[in-house]
Amino acid sequence: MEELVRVSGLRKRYGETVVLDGIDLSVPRGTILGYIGPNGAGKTTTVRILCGLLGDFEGEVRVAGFDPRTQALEIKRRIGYVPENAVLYESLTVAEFLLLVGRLHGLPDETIRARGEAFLQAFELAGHLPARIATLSKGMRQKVLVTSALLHDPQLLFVDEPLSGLDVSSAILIKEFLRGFASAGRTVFYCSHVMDVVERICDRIVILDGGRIAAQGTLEELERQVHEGSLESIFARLTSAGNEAERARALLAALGHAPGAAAT
Amino acid sequence: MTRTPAERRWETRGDGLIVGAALAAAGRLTHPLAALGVDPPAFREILRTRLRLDMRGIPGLSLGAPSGGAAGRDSFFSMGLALLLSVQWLAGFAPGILAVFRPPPEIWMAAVSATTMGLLGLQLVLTYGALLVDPTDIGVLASRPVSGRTLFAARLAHVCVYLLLSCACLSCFPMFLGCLAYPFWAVLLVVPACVLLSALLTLGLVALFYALALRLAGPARFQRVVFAVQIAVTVVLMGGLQVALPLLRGSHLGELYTERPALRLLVPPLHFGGLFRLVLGEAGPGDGRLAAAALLGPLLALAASVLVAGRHFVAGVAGALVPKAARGVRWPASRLSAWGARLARSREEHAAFDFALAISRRDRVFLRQVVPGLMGTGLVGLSLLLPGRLDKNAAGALSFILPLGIYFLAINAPMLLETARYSEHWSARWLFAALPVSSPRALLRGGTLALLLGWVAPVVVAVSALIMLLSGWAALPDLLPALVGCALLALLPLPALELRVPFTDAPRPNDYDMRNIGVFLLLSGLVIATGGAHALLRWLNPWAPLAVAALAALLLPRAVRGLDRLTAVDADSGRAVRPPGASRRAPSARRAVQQPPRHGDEA
Repeated sequence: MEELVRVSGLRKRYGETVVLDGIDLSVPRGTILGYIGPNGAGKTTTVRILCGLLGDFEGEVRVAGFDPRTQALEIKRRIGYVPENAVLYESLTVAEFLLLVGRLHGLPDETIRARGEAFLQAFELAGHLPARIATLSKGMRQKVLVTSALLHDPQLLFVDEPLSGLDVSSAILIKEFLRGFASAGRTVFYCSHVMDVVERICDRIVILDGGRIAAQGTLEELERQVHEGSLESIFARLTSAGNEAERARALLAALGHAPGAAAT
Repeated sequence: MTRTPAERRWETRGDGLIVGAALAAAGRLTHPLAALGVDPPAFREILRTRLRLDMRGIPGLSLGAPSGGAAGRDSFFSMGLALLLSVQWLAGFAPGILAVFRPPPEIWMAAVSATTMGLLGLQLVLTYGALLVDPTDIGVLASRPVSGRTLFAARLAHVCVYLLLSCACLSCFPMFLGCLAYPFWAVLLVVPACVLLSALLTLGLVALFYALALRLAGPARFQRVVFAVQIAVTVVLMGGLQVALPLLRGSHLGELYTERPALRLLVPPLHFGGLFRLVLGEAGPGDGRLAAAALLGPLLALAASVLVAGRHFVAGVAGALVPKAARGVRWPASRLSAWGARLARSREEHAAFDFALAISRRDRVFLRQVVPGLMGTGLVGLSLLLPGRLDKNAAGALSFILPLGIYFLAINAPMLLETARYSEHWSARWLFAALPVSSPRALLRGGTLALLLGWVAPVVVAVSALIMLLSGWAALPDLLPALVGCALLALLPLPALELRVPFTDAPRPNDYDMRNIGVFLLLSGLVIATGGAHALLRWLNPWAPLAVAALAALLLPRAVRGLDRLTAVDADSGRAVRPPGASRRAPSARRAVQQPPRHGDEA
């Protein structure tokens, strides 16, 4: 199967701090890759490199056949990107925002309107087209962001916690959409901390820890490697410092609450 | 005492002299603040945080850099602040030199005070007033146990720090030159005190007005009312003098002043004149009351503003500046946007045109910095007509003065484009880095077109229409050449500027980007020179300006093509992106300093 993303020996450092330390991975076309890891593992940095936002790294990287160092624009034309905690121009209306993004992708206004209407209709947000983004709730903004990333029907979609703030119905909708999107030959690079979602929708999973790949493969392959029954326990086994219960007791002690004592 | 590693982890970088002094002064004010209902510890922490934020600059786009603050020690001083203080230092020369002519001491001191109040009043309304109603930290503070009075008092103290620096600069020339005319001990004693009290009175009056606006308009409309007043005050301060002087001439205010000295209490600068006479031992009737007003007025105004601001201040600051979007218009389709589609060379330019037009009508940083100035320059243009309207003897001079008002409007174009770089939602510029934008120059051209057509052109058209309305067809032989000259003066310098894509830079309360200052100064000189040339031609032959303008109009297409040669400054790296074939200047040291420190690892 054609590889849409190919990464070999990727290293990235900020000063003395090594953020990514020899990442090797490949993402075949038409698959969903789950990219998971604890806070600070290097997930967002990897995504930024693959999206062409960071050109200063070591190693070989190809996204849709293009080098992010020298062909970032070509990559950006072919990808959609939904960052976590994205700041938006809050004084724009939803319609103005979608027109801005769509036009920067070179789409005709008719296409932007048709696709925008369809997406917002599905998200039950069509009535909010003239509303300023500042007036939208977190979940509504997330829907606008997802819509804007998909307007140009990207070959490869990078999403970082795309379900953040979404209601249950919208979350199910997005998950269903992503499955169908991959079946249609598109590729999804899915970063998340929500293990059961990753477990359910991703074809392959990469577990990152301290800038290195701790494990990768299908869920079944990971289960065989680690001898654990769920992604959460695999993840905890590979990345956690352990003793969560003991650390929780330390937190309570810091507040002066004796373990097991009733709250006052 | 040696600190343990754990203790050292909690140490912060030094706050420096100014922050330290501000916090020490705040510490001394604990009892008066508590008496006003302010929570002194919270007050000090908010003040400390705001000053620290001013010092530490703005985090960058965070497209990959280690977390952490700006490198090196925090610095309160910036080029912008230094420039502002230099201007204020020079502005003190005007009232200072007045002393050489030995006017009555109370008149001289009133002039010093009036200059302080006028200059700082404009500064307060245009820049530092925004600090009072700045909503950036309200998201953090609104959910904390901070009262409206405490927040308001902390904002006042924040502004006070800047005003004290201004006072120190403003009082230099008056102190030095005043000693040449009056007893030096009195000058050295009274001038700094009067400048300081004048500044505090100005702040107190502005703050009291804000507090009253909050009470009367309510928190929901507070930001809008303050903005409207900001425009009105700027217009009055910038153009009011030209309007007031002809109106006052021939009035009976002078007689009223002599007959009823008690009216002097209504004119704050005269309070300080009374104080000066009292210190000199030359006190006349009523000077004691004036001196008491000079000493107590600022304190009373500040205290009253804190008391009136009340519990709704937090909600007022969090209120919206512009009304919500109209319901029903699903996809925007304005006439100006249609023009944008026609003038844009690419989808990117069209996108930037609509983007800049929409944001410019709603972004509070832009609106606060641009609209008052635009309105003010428009009024200056119109006010030049007034002497001719009121005084038949001056009517002949009108045709010489009128064009200058139009040429003056040309300065708006580059100034507006420079100011438009700032936005309260600047960090949303990640969007332009993540989307396939071929060059920031395309975004800049589209945004520039939108701002010129949406803001500068309407002001020029409105002022011209009003001039025609007031002066009739007789103004046409001067107006037409002035319009051609204004368009050329506005457009020709644009390729020499280095501009950022509109609304992609963080507003800095005390900084100023110096890279375009040369162009602004040159343009100011050109405006005066063009106005002078116009007057000279008019004097030689009334139709000569029109003939020259007809020739100059041939340059207009070239001036418009200048929009294709704009130089964009990359928002993230600070690198200038020039049009193909343009000469490359060596980057200045200032440019390197201008690059914002990069922070964080979040998008």
